[in-house]
Amino acid sequence: MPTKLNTRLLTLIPVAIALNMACGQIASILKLPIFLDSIGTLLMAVIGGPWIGLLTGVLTNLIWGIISSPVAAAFAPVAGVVGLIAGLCARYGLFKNAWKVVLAGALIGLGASVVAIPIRVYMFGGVTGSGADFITAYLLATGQDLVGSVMLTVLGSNLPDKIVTALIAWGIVKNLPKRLQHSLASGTC
Amino acid sequence: MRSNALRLRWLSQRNPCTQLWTLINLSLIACLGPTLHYPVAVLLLLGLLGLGSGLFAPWLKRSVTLLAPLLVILLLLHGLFSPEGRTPIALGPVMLWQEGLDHALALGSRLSAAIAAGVLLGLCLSPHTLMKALEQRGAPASLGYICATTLELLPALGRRIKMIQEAQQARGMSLEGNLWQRLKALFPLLRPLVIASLLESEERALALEARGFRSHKQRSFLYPVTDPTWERRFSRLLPLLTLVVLILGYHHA
Repeated sequence: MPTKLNTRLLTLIPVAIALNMACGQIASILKLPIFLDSIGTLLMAVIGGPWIGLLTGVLTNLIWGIISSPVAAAFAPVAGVVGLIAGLCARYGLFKNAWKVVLAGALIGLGASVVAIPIRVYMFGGVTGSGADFITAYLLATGQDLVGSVMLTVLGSNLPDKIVTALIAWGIVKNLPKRLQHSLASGTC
Repeated sequence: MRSNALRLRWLSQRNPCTQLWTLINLSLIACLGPTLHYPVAVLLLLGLLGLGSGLFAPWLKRSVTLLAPLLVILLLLHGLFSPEGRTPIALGPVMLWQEGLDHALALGSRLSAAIAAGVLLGLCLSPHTLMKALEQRGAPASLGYICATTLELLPALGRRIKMIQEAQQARGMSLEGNLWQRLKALFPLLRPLVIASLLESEERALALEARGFRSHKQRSFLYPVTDPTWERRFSRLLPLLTLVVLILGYHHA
């Protein structure tokens, strides 16, 4: 059942999208091995539900595609699925304690990989233009087929990233000031 | 001189929706066309469009910058390690596979056309005008609000991150160190950022409500984007044209 897009949620979505982009940059400044570019999507999914999460994810990549690199736009479905699964996990109570959040992160990472792998294999031929290509090359050289190699690199980067991001999102939402928690829950200002 | 400049800019002054829709359809033709001729033809057409809108040099530069590493790695990855390789080509000490190179060429040309179209889109579209034009053609106003606000927020968020980073560093947070230390540095950076952004958005929500933003389905604009009837008709015709081109292509292939 889609959540109604009330004004409060509407004003939160641009914040989440900007957070996605900004945190992606923070992760590279801190030289972390994770992307951290879905933190806003996860926050919106927990606050607003699966469809809001989907919208946030898709719009993040589309806007990024127009202002920065068209490659990001190709992965908009992946970001959408991240938001969708995160929202469903939140709805079914998987954001209650740390272990459940790790499980939610794993599910999100799996879902994202399932959508990302065909895009990577059939649109980009398994190539990312980053260091992960060395790993793909190594796996191909040792006899794996392309789908298998891409599967390993995508899972290897997505699972830790989504688990860590889910834990961070949960930590933030759990520790929000009471006033914010109430105003977000009721959708009023 | 003046008429030259005007003619150059005619293409870039088309309605943003028409531009978006045209480039999407060109990408579809490039990616779904049966042979290599289609992406190559689309690339040439994109070059002509770039020339016609005065964006050729930046378009070429950005496309090459984005595509060169991808294409080189694609050729190397598939040429050297293709799992379907049967026909080897010896290039000195190196052994390449014919099938891998063919596949890399086919994929690479389609990828290049799609990304080059995206680059041209990014160069000729201003997100604000695009959202306005989309709203005029019927998109929900909320979408326009989301995109416009996101673009406004990005530089402000960047400044706030820097401010929080400096404040936390003054309190002893370190940005160096091993992985665990760097991960620990995340929370004191992110928590104030998220809370401040959420609180700020509360004020924006109040402002929107006060202006009755969600009370009407369609807004009218003081300075609307030009949207002539022929462009609307052209946009409606485009998918049919794409379909015809693809069907004829597959029929002749």
